[in-house]
Amino acid sequence: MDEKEIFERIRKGDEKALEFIYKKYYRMMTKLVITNSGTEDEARDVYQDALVVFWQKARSGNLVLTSKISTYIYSICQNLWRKELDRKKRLSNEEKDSAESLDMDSPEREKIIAKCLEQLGETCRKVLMYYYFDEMSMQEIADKLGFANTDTAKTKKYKCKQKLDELVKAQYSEQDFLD
Amino acid sequence: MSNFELIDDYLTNRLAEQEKVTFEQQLGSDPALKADVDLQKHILEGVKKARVAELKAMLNNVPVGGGFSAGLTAGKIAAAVVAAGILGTSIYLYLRPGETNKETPSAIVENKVAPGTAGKEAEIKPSESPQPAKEQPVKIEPKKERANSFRKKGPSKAAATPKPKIEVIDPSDELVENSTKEVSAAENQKSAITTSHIAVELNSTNRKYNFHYQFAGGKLILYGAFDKSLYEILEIHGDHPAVFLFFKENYYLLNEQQNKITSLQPIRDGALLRKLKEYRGR
Repeated sequence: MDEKEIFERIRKGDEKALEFIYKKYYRMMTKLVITNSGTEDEARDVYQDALVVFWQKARSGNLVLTSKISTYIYSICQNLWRKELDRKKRLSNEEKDSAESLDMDSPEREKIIAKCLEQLGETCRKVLMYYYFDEMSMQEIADKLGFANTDTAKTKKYKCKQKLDELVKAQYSEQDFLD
Repeated sequence: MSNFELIDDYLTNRLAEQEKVTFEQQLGSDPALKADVDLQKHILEGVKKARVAELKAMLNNVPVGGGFSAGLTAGKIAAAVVAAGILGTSIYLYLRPGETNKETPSAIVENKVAPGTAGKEAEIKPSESPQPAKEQPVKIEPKKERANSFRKKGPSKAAATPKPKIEVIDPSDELVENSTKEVSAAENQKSAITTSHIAVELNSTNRKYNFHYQFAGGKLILYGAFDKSLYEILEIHGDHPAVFLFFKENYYLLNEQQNKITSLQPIRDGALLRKLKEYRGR
């Protein structure tokens, strides 16, 4: 696969192409973090985060690559790791408490929604993720999940979202959620 | 358009500019609508986070052959050739302690990357100033804590603290396959160093074999949690070829003729270990 083909496949939402890139550049990207005070786990985490950013940007259709894919991903890794070093530095300056207290509820909320998504079932979960995260069109969702047409995809998305809303609301009152 | 669709389109930036302005005006004067939008916003964020977690879990399952370590650059090749002779003797003595042979292996090749990965190591460009990470060691937080708070921090006080500088490797240099540097290096050492062709497959799901290997189907299969940490394959060419695995600070001899699943035994021979370590450190 050449660069153009890889990018095109990622742009179309081909996860195998993302796996291909992950494997191909793993060593180089993780080296950046490891040679700059990072652990292997941190390196892997940063690289994966960078690839997710790349994936989402490519999927959005707004990304025009003017450099090699590796150069682009590398710059994302650099930025992410720099931010992480920055964060660690702030924490070491006894700002830990204030940093943590800013978003205490968020992980809890994420857990609730993740749990509700699990309850939705595979198809619904994929429809919602593809629509909201990957920003796929109804046609793309229909193609990817084998729906008859875009109307089916649209109806499915509508019903799945409503079901998710119900599940979330059933578990927590609105007040709990927003406070 | 129902409120449900309107909110959905607003939060996914699918409203036309005029519709967006009208909706935001409505939002300012309708607390119930505002609360609904906030709730939907959280739900969409949760969906996105779940997708990120799914993608990362998918990537975690991708076997990555080899990983970080210092590798060969054109500049290091000459040193590697010198080391190869010394190392080869040790290996030969290790493998056949009862025999004598004055010949030395002609080459040594490191294969630390997955098949398909560009093999040339990038040079690390020295930064203008020493690394802050070295001058002011940062506290390494446990991964879990980091994962929860990574990139969703409060107001930045970065202005008050200098930005950490990180060493930069030029990725384009590393990834240019058949680059000029690579060709010239290959020309210089063509007879001594060749690219390794050992393909590696990982099997971390086999319960019976959890630290084993075999050569089968033209590739090396490693059984065990090799996807959890980084490993290296050191390949020695020459009259007495040998393949070694470096994993978690231990070296293991891999018999290329071994097509049965065999347990991995760490090398204990001090002299050979020193040589392997010395070479690997180059």
